[in-house]
Amino acid sequence: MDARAEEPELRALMLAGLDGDASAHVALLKRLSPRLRAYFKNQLQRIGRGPVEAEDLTQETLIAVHTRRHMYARTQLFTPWVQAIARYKLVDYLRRTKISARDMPIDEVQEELSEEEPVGTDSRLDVESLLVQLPVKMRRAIELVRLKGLTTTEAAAASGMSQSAIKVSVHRGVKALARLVEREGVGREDR
Amino acid sequence: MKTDELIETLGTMVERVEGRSFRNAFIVALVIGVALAVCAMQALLGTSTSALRQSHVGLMILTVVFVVGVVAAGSSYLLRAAHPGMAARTPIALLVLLVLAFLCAGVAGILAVDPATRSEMIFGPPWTICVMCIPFFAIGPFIAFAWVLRQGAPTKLRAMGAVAGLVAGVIGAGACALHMPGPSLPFIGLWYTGPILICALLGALLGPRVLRW
Repeated sequence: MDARAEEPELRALMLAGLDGDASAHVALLKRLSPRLRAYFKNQLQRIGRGPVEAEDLTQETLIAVHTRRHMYARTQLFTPWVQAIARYKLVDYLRRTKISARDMPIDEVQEELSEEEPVGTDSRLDVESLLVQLPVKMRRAIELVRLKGLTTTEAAAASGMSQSAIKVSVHRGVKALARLVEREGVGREDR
Repeated sequence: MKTDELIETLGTMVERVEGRSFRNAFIVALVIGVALAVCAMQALLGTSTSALRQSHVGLMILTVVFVVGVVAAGSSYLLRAAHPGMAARTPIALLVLLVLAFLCAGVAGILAVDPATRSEMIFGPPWTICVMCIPFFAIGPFIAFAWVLRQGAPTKLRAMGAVAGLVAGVIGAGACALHMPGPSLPFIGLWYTGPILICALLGALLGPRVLRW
């Protein structure tokens, strides 16, 4: 499938997500992940890194797409935006692991993002063990909203926290999780 | 962790995103950076009104145009390049043009003066102040830029660091000029541009470390 042909759809999902449409945002991330996975697998193969690292990078990129949403200008094309982030995450990984970029020419993401790799490997991170590291309030809010699938109102009633406190806690919690993934993520085993 | 789990987690709190937040943060950082540079100058050297009054009007205008031009073009680059996949060729071209023009003006100034007075012109005034102080005054603005740019999503850290260093250096030079306005064209061409370019070089070296996100 051609990534360019999909640009209008992906962009529409991104714009809806920016307007606060959570399901559009999730749909966008779900459509991006097979492409990112294929891209990273392809690139990492040349330096003898396996699918686990590719999965880690896929997740880091998805997190970046989420946490840097505010850095997408609504007038701009979406595909080059994701490509630039994926490429950056790869370069950052190479830098971290001290693999010289000269050993591995980085292809334009263009072609690579058009391939799909639907089946993901587990990354080395475990969401439960990450949650444990969060402050109790954030952990509880995320558990209620995410694991039990409650709405903000229901979660507020169940926990005795106010609705806005739930919102803030989940928001901060997800950010903190993203930071943990970045900290514990790829490349750390090389140190 | 399964990637689908992660996606669901990320999807639990999707709020409306306002477009202007980064731009506003950048403006705040720029103002803080300028304030830090001016404060550092005031604390270390102090403004000298008599020197400002005696200085050559043409040179002063040239300095102001250069400083404002580089800060404007540089800010435009930093703002754009902090967005992944956004091209920023025009601001880069403007920056190169401005720095080259300033350098050329300096070289032309050097060539135009009588060789006998040349060295007096260049080494007469306390040039070490510029060389030492411009990079020093640039530290504040550079930290302010690094702080705000990390909240963005720069993808070319070396180029970003170089431009942030360049703009910080120019702000430092502007602050320095408040204390000691350029006495002659050869002087500012050499002793302003040199330290500014050193700042850009340091920025390029630091970029990949300090701008990581």
